[in-house]
Amino acid sequence: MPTQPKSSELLTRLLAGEMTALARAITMIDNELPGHAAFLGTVPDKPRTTPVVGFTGAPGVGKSTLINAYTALCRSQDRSVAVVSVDPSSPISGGAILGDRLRMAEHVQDDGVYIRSLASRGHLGGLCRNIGQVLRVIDTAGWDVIVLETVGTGQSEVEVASIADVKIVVNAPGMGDSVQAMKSGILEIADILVVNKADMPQAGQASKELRAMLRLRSKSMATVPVIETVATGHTGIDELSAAIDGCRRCME
Amino acid sequence: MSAEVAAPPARVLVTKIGLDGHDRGSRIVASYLRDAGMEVIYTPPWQSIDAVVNIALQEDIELIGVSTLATDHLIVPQLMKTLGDADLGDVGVIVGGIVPETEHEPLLAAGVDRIFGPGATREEIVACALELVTRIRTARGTDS
Amino acid sequence: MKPDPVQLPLPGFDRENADWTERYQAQIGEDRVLRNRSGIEVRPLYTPGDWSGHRYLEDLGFPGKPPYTRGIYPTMHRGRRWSQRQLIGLGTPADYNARVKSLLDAGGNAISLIPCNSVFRGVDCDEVPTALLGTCGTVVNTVTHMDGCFDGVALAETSTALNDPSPFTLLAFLLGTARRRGVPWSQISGTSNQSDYLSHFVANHMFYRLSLPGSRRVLLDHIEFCQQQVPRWNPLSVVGQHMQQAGATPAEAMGLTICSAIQYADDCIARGMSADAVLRKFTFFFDISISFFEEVAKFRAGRRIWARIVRDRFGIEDPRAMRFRFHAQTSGADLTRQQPLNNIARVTVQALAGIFGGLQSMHTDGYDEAITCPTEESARIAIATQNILREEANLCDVIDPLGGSYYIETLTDQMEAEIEEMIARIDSAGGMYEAVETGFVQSMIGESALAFQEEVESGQRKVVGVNCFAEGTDDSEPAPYRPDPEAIEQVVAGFVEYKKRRNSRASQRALDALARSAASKDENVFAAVVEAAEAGATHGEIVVCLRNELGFGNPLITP
Repeated sequence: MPTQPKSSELLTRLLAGEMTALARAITMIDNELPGHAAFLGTVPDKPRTTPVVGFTGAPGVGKSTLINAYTALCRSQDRSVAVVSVDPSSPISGGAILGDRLRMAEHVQDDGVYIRSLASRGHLGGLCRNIGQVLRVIDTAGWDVIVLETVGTGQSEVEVASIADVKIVVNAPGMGDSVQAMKSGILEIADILVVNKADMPQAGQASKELRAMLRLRSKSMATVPVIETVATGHTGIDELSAAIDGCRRCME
Repeated sequence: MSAEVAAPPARVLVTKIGLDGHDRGSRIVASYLRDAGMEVIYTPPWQSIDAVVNIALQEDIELIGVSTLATDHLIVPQLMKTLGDADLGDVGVIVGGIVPETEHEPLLAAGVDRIFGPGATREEIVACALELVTRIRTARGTDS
Repeated sequence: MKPDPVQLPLPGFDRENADWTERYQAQIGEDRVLRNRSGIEVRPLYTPGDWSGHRYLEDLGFPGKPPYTRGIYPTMHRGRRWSQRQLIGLGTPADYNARVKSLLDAGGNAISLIPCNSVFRGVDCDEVPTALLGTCGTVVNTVTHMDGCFDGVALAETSTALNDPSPFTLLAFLLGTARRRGVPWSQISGTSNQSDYLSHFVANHMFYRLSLPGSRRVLLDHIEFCQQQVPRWNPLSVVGQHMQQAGATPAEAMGLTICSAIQYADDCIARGMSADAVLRKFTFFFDISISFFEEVAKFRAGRRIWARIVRDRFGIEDPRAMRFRFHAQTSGADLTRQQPLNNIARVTVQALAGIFGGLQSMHTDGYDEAITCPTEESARIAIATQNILREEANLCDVIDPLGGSYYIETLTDQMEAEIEEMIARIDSAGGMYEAVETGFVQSMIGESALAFQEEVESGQRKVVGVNCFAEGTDDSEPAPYRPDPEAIEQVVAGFVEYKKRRNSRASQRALDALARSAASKDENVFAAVVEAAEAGATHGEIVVCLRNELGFGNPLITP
């Protein structure tokens, strides 16, 4: 039976694959609890080997549902997945509702999936202050894929660009002004663009506009894949996964 | 807003087990807790007990709020037992909703910390939550 | 607000009005602005200056003709009393049967069956802890169970409302029962009371099982099937109750319900069904809160708006389509756990509002509703309440008795404006389906719910026995209803036995056919549900099969 980990044994139990230890380690870092620096000192200092796939986009485009589908695919390929979802904290109260789990209910009993919800806690950029260390710890714990989810709409929420290995910007048709999206910096960070809810009639138009915009920007951006998905129906996920794998190979 | 806010923010799970699906109350309570500076993991109704325990584990939850209607409170002792088996017995548990007076005792005996009925105010709920979070942080040594 | 230009040939009116205003303000002392639940200001006095009735024919008219404000039939309750359709659901099929018979004896003339929460969840009785079974509804998983529920009840002579959502297995079981008894389906009448899947997704209620697009498909198949094979059945009831209970204001709930109805009508028409045939069968289901005048005005405004929408949006002038027929239930959300006997008074006021609002059918809650599903005694009092209002207060004698009241007419106009505004908002959000899919509606309702709660907690909204007049002895809390555990165990054991004894090959074949129909684009899924039920498939098996094909409904949106 797992028992509450003491700080000294945290690393050992983490390496042994204990969920409790991983959860507690992340809390220690997120909350900057006494001993967290010491703990981080024990974590092997090496470049991260686990790929981090970042999903960003405006609220309501279907990021969580998409991640849910992508996770299912990874699991079918026998790859374990750790999902870190960052939601904004209320600037007034400092609290937050962390609801991304709502869309990933099918994985809640799977030992090969770890889901952690974090709040931005006033940190700007779209993620949280200690995200780098959190990812380092998850990397150490030995997961096959790390998925990072964050809200990204404007110029300032592009922190995911410096953290993730593969940056996916998710859009959905009819979500307002696609020109606005183009004006913001968010599309420029994308390795992959996704048009979710592709079963909607305006989806085709949205894809066209995105491709046109990419061509106008630069030659390198013109090669960014635009993939249509229906996350709720698990459609287009194979293509997305292939594109992700393609991006990772390019980076190696 | 309450004057005292746990720092860093408390991690609370608000959920429903059993068969009832009315979640107007749990949504309101989740808002109260967020407004009091807590981080609330909110799930839809109909969570299995195993799922709740798993979430509590992965998210390193400090307090669980269970919203019940109908007879769903009758399986709360089972939840308490499963939490205990997963070594999460120190996590605070509040039950909110309609629990007949005659059926409070088994819940409290199983380890539920507090049962709130429909007349509970925001202040009472938040104060209780803060108290339970403080308690677990002291016990675990996770206070900053 | 609709302009009602005052044409007052009343000499001296302005002078007297000003005089009263002065005297009022001198005496009133501190006077706050009061608002009803929909946010409309409630003033101390209404006069011909607010509504003068000179547009009687355009705005009110006569009962049974557009604009229908005063009622959808010429005779209303004087010609035909409202149906006393009390919700029944508890324990085992035998328990249900006993309760139905006693309620029919006590004067109820229409039946409503509410199944166990496990049925809403889409699971069979052998899949959940027995402590949770039969506490709020009857366990019905097979045709045999349904047959037991209606043992000794003449199916062709009663109208039955079934309260399950997609895929409507209860109706499938009822049809199976009818066939067993040799009762033609053409004689089966009633309503699929919980067919409004949009309201279930909005209120994140207990009723979701299939995905949103899946629910859409099954509902349309269900409507088509009933049109052809069960013509006296109302396959669609558009439900405002869930939204109001989840916290929507009365105006919001009415507006959203009408938007749902528009969406369903559009969907049916897109399917190729005749708009007239579809609209003629629409019925509605509303909550009645204790905000008395507001509710009366809400229903009157609803009638007026719906008739106009049917005529202007759908181009139909058939009176059968323009009639806003509705069932209403006194709101459990207003009832308290504290001092439960007080609830009898509350239910009486709510019922009054519904009657003056011109409903066609009503359920009155038991006083113990906040704690348990009703005991025989509280169920009897609930029906007696309706009987007293009808027989002793003689509320059926006059049609729309509040019509012409300066207040009620002004408020009806104001509610109409609020409701129209909600409809416009949903229109610009792309219609109800899209507004629900994006979570827009859910967020709005959540905000109203929070605002209401804050008003109660701050004491601004008074609730007797809770935040005012709470001293004194509390009535002892009614013992919660619990079905006899042995009887439940027997039902579960019987069910397990049933699965062993039935022709599992036949039921499996039917389930496979059901899966194929769901995967196809143009087969009628509900027809396949009925066949599966008759072949012995269970409720849980049918639901799982469809979930696999059509997807599982995900609740939306965080608080």
